[in-house]
Amino acid sequence: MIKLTVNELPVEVESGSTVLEAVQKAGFNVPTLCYHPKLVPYGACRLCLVEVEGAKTLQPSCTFPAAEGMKVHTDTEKTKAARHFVLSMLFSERNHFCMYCQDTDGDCDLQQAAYDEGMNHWPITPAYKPFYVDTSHPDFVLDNNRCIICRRCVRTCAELVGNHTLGIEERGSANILVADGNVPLGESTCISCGNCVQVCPTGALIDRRSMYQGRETDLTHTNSICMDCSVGCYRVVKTRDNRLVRIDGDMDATFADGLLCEMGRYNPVKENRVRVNEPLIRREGKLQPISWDDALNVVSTQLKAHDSTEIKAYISGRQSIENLSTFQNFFKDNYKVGQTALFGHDESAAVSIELAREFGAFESDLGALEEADAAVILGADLVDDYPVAGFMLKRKPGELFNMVLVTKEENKLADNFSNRLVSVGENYEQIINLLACHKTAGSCEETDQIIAEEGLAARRAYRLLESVQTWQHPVIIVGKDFAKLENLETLKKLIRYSQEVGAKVIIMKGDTNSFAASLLGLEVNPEMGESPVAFYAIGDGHACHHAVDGMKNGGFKIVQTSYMDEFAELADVILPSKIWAEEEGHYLTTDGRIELNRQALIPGVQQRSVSEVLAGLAEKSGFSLQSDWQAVVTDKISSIVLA
Amino acid sequence: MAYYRSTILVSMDPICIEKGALQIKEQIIEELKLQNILDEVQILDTPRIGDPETEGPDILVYPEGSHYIALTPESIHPLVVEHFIKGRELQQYAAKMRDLMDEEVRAPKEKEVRVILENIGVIDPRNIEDYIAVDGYAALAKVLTGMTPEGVIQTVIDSKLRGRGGAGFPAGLKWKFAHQAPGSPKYMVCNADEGDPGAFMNRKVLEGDPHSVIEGMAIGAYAVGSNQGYVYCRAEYPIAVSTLNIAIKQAKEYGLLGKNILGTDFSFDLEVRMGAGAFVCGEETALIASIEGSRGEPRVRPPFPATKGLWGKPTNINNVETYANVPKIIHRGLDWYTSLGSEKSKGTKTFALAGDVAHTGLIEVPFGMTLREIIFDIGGGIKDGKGYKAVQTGGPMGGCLPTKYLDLEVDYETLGAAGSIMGSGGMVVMDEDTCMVDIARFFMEFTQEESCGKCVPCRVGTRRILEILERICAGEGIPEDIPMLRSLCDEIKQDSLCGLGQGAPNPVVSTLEHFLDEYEAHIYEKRCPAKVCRNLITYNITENCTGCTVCARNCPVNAITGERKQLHVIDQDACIRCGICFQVCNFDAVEVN
Repeated sequence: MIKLTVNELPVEVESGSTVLEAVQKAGFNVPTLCYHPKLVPYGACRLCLVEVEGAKTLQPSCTFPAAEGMKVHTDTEKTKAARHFVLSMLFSERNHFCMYCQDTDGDCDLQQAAYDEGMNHWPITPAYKPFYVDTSHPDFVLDNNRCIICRRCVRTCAELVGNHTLGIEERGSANILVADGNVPLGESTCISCGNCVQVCPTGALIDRRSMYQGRETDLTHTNSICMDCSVGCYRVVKTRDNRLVRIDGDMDATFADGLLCEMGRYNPVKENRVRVNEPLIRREGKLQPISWDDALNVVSTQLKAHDSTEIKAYISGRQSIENLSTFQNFFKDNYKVGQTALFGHDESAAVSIELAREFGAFESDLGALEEADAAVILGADLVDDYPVAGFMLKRKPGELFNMVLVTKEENKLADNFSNRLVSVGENYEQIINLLACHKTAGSCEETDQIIAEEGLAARRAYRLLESVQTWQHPVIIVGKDFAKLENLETLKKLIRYSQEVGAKVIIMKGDTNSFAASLLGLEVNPEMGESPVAFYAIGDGHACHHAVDGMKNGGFKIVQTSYMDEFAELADVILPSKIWAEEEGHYLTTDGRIELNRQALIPGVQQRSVSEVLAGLAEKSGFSLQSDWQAVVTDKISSIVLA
Repeated sequence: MAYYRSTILVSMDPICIEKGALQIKEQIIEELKLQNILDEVQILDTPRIGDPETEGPDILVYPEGSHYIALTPESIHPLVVEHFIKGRELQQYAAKMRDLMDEEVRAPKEKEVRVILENIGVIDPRNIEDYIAVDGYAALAKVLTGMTPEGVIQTVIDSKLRGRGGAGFPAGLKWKFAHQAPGSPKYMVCNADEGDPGAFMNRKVLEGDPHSVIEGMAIGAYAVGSNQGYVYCRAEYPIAVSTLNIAIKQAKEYGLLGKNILGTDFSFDLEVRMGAGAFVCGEETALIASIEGSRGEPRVRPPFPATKGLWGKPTNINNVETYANVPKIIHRGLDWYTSLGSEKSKGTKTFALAGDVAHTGLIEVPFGMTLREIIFDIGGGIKDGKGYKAVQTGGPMGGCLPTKYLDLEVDYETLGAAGSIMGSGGMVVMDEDTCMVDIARFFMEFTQEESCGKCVPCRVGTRRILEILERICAGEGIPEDIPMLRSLCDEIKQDSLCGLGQGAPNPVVSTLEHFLDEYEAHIYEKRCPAKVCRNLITYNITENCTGCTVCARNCPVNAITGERKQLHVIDQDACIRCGICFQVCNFDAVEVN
């Protein structure tokens, strides 16, 4: 611990802390612009300058290390003058006419800092040349006129996301924020994760859909979990008058620095499918409205009319654990139907459970990616399927990180790393053997042959293999292409290898809640055979061809869905469903965290969750439902994922 | 090693090359072959010998020391026949007799002390044996075979060698910090990104004596515990880069670089990295960022490069000249080195003397010499017999020192106290016809152009200062401009991130301090006392006019009217103050007001 004083007030901070941290801990406020808690301190805007006794000049508190006995002053004539100067410089640089900006009144760090300094006019008249506004991107707008060149966005794009799209062009006062050496954002390598927009302190990067829709304080914030893949990022759902305005990453969360990807940030806001607003029934080939009571009667009658073992019930992995559990309880435990299964053909969750039977808790959490110095990725496309997990690797230093990729198709992660071994195909076993061999012996007789056979880039491959013995924190990531029940024996070998070398293993579970579904005993990768009656609990999920084709085998089709999609077109009865934001529920992430999705919107009167529908049906069938999922899931999870 | 009766040094200055030095060299080889004496004469490339503008292409022939200038392909045949066959100097092409060692600086011998430049023009930079012949690599051998890293560091500390990059930080201490810093690998970096306009001290050393830098770096690497070094050289120095690459290659072949140097456990490898012409990359952290492949922008210190430098590893970074001093200190000893220079600044310093001084060029003098000695005794005083006004030291971030500082003994402290800097050693002398407001505007234009834009004070502040200065020079200054300039300068100095921003206001601050009257004349009287600022001067034709019509014919905007043999008149509304009439008038009839 370090003891120092801030404005004469003694304060104690951990060693390695910055002066800014000490100042904040002492309860004082120093304005910042380029500083962001998730980014490496940069010291560029010079707004946080403080006086440190003994130092020749003012020092940026965000980067200056706190030291024993240091005497810091934040509110002297000198620091005030410096802040006033920096702000007047910024206001003189470009178009900072606050009243015409979308980011005002508390949303803009620049404006707020000026208010805090008591500034009420510009000491220097702005003299700027207007810039074109880049509106080429579908999700956000870049207005260089409002930019203060703090580079939070540039650093976020590089340091946190590892995409390196944004950069600064030109020198000095000609500095300008550009994408990819000055192409329109919409034509750039931008992956639309929107993290840059979230960190922008002014109105330079603004969200298209939520701009001019209200200040932060006008919006209702609901802290929640993303269920657009199984990574489980933390997000804040922002609503106004029961309307979804924007989704932001929860930057207070430690996991993945509060990042989001396009799927989690923009897809829910972009939703444009037609909602199902009331129960519908197909009569004379046409879907016609029907009351809930009648609809449930029809469903109940249909279910009773057939031998229950012939009935099949399918549910989407996007449903909450509560819904999955009720579903399993209703159909499997009470109704004893022939099949209860998850849509899709992802077996990774089931594989994980199988492996745990032999190895006990063997999986690691995604936090392992943070300290990893090497990654072996087998059959997983992190960039497209689990983007935020992908960011955690993409942002690793391209020169120093060691990357082994064995994937069916070319993997987009490859180009980020110069130390790499890239095999396109499914020879997982061969590459595992090669790595094991190099780890134990330092070299391998078959190396030349394997490199030739696999057509690997030889120079890079040798360089990587040379480094295997020096890996300190390797992580092995298994994806859905490899994590199949048919590969169980190879996977066991892999786990043994990982345990020998001390590598951490992460198996990426397919659908959002597929891990929970598997734990609850739902089938995965089902054969969707013929059945006289079938129940499909889709919710707000998207139709996939695999499921639509399988559904054609069903007889009487009961579809619970939020939107009029391909499923709905085949349905005999449609039950309107709530969407993700309209119901509360728990989700189990790929690495075993149980997280709560909180309700952010009030649903329409007719829309019901799976649990509510099944409760209605249970009442009609005369049995009571139990959904004590907590015990089942929490118990089992600890036997699979290491604490 | 082969022996020759004569050695020809061919100047490979870029201007000489442009003027055909390469063809001259080929021609010499052809001619010597023809005369059948090619194996008796050694032909070497060398950096600049004389003044390439007036004397190039030129060669130097040893042992006679004959300097032949303005050579053409046709001149080679008579030259070879006269000089090498008949054994007498060919007067037609010989430069006027003068002491060649002093050629470039024309410094009186007793004033100059050559340490860094002593081998320049004497040895062949592209032949390592030449360097070895003048005790080159003896210091490295001494260090590797008989000194501990701590011992080397102590020696450098005791020598009081200070960083020649400009800030003057004790080199030995820097090494000590890097030596003590935990982490590996450690890196050695040489800053050869010499960007000050008109300065070429480092280029000269790299082109003329590259091994002294390599040896210095190797000694430093041993002391610090590094096995990899980089020389960051600006791409505008292609000859320096190629010479350095040849030198590194030769040093590797001789076992003086690479694995197990001189049979010891010590290994050190060196690579050249080229900068793309950003002035700010001379700042050490920006230079490191540039080597890493990032945008060349400075990073905040602390952490200093010694603890967290290149790729986050402990890194020692020094200037070319600093490294070049090290072998001499080790080889010749502390007593010799500390006998040179002033009390706090030991050794010598190279300066690039430029501007309105009679003799411009490179000089090397001990610290503690006065500005007067440098400008008047060595530089030969002000050109064309005009009066002295100021000297700006240390490049574009230096201050302008007026007459009262002429007896200042030049070292890091005195220059700093006078409101200027040592910098890398640029010295721009200004005569009485210089407008100091215009000078401040000129340097501010440079720094604001070269600002990287990372920190607000430098990016925006220098721009605002420039706008004010441009306004003053245009005759649109207002009284509030002076206090505004002062406060902007104060804040930029105080708040900027790196040396560029912290130093950028120096020219303005020093001219405001010493030449306030000129600012006031511009602002209050709309007058430029030095008659430089175009918007504030008028051209008039006096009674001396003979009506020759030269001015009227040359005026680009037809602002001059008048009959032949009659007094001519300038239409002030049409005049664009280009000054052509003033230049072409043969009767001193055009005057500037």
